[in-house]
Amino acid sequence: MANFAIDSKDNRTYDAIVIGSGISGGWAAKELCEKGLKTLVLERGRNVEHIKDYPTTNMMPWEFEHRGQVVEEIQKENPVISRCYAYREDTQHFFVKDTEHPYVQDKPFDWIRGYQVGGKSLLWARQVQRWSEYDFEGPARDGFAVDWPIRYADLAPWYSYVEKFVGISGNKDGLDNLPDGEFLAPMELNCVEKYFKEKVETQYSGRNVIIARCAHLSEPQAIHLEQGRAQCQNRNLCQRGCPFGGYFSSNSSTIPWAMKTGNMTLRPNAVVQSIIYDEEKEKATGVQVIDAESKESIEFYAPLIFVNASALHTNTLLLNSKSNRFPEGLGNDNGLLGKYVAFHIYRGKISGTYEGELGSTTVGRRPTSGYVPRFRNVYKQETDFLRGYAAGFSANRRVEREYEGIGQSLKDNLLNPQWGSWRVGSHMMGETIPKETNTVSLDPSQTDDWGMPLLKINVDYDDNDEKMIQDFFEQFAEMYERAGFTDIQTRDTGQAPGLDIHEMGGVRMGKDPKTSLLNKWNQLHACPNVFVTDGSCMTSTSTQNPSLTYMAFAARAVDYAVQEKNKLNL
Amino acid sequence: MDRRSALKQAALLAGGLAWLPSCDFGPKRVAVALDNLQLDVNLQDLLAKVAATIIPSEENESGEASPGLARPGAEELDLYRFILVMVDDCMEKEDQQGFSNGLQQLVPFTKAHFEKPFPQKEQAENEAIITQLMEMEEAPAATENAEVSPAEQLKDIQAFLGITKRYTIQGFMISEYFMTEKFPYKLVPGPYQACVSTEGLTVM
Repeated sequence: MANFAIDSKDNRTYDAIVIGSGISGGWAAKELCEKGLKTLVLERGRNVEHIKDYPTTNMMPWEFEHRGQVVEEIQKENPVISRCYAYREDTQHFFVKDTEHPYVQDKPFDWIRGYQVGGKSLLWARQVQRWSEYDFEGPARDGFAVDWPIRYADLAPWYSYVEKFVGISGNKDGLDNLPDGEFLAPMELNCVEKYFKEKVETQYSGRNVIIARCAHLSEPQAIHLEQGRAQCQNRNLCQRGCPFGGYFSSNSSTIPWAMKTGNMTLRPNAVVQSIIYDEEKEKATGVQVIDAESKESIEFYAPLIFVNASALHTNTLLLNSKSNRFPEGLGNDNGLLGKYVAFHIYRGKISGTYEGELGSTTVGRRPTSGYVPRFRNVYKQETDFLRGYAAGFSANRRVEREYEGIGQSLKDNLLNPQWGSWRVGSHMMGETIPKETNTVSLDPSQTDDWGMPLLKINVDYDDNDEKMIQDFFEQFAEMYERAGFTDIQTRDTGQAPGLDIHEMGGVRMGKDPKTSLLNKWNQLHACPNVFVTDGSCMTSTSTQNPSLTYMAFAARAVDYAVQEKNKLNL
Repeated sequence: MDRRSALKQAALLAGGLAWLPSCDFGPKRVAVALDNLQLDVNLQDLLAKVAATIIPSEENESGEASPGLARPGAEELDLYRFILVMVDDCMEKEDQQGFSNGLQQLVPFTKAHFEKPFPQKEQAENEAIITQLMEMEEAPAATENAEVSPAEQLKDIQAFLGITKRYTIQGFMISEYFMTEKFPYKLVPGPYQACVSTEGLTVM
């Protein structure tokens, strides 16, 4: 009889289901639970509990057998993940290996994934810049994709709402192309970064160098302490998981917060195969799940479903949710599901040397960098390519050692380094134009070990991207020259799309059900009790690191969904 | 790969072997357990000698090596173990082969072509031999009955020495000694100071 009770449909029915526990799913879970909904959070990967499951977090550099390097055999078998800057000996347990979860690359695409409770929120670069009015207006002004169904004013209060809880270190810079938020104390630019800021801002109008806003508790408030988090200690070992909760992750923040309400059921190792659609009710009624370990099939039910499976997986899941009503995937009446996928261009890098400020250096570590907000085509079209790019900027005092020879002289040299000049560098973060030809789709024949069709990715750069990369090189080389930097070198990494880890779209928002999948509340036009608030909802990409925007969308959509539910509209 | 349990087993085995008469290089009689390289304990000891030549121990005033005191080198820091692990786990097969060949050719090559073979008693002599090998631009003429041409040998030896030097330096600079006593690394480094005078500051 006990089995009967466990297996009964009632026991598998909730007020809401959230698919995915990463940065946006964590927010959906927190908001739903706080509003009193019994919420089931399904995560395909294993559980990772804050602090307890950060095995390397307090290890010293010499305690790693390979001093941080990933061994050759793993790199060879897993070339995609091995190209990720954060995939190292100390973090590799939080990344998906290529061999474990294959996908099909019609064109090269480096798909970086983290399958665990918390997803990639454990691993992200923690950069949280708001979008501006100019970003949301982009597609309409420049005539690409479709018009966003919202504007900055719609999202601004939700940016504030999530920022207060997340904890954002930042400076109020007063820039209309990168709006200020709810900031804790800013981190600081070092002397050469300040020097560059002054040079750029006096020589160019509309170009700024600021300290990047980052999701770190520079100055924790009561709301952060209540989450059990403490001040950021500048360890800069974030991707191992932070025992202080100094940076924001689902694991340190939203998931335990949701758990504390008593309304959350967290189920790791739950691979959602499809969303169940009931043709009579004209609604989604639940999800079909495969237990990742036992491979048992099980259904869960709820009148409200949030899809936060990560940008491309959300596409997979919706495409695979086929029914008589939706033979091409849930909500896919217009055939646009999986199309207009876009990303950020991270191919351009530039570096140089600065021979000034030789009496100064920095001490300690800083978990963010300088930031140059987009300055191209902000107010009007002014180049032969659409949109523009933001960039990082950082300066580091070099420490030089002589490595010649062997013996005592070599040893003395290693133990007696000298100050060198300053090294400066920037990397671009460029907006790509979503195109119908950049797609993800289900492989017609191959499935993974859990019976899910493999995702086929067909995404590439275009001429606009190439022109933008050249412009980044030209503009930054000029800015570097004017600042008196020397030995300026540009580098096109040639990396495939995906390695930016900012893949977006496929389930875009829009005003018109004929040309978009989601409405302005992130609700499927054709199946309104399903909300999609992860990266797949993005109509365009702008240049900002996108996670903050996903979090704001998630909180806003839950607020709307619960209001609608209470009005009995859902 | 399960090096740890392999190491444990090796250590257990070694307990029994410790009483066997030893030769050549003193007390280190347990070969590091490896997955890809096949290097016996003598070759591993030879590697340790090369590493110790690259980053030597320093003697204190009384003329004795002082691992605990002043400035340990590759020997006290057991860097040969690190080098073996890195070559075994982090290099491609081809480079592992070059490393392995070079290590094996080191003694025969110096015996055949140098006045004194490697290793000698004095650090200065060993340094001279290794430096000469690393800087040699042309291989000596072949001796009679040589199985491998001196050019081949030299190529492998130089590859081996290059790899060994690189990992000796890396192992030294990411050793507990280096990162605590010389250039202290802190997990919690304190506040970031954006602009500090270099005056009187340790260069690090």
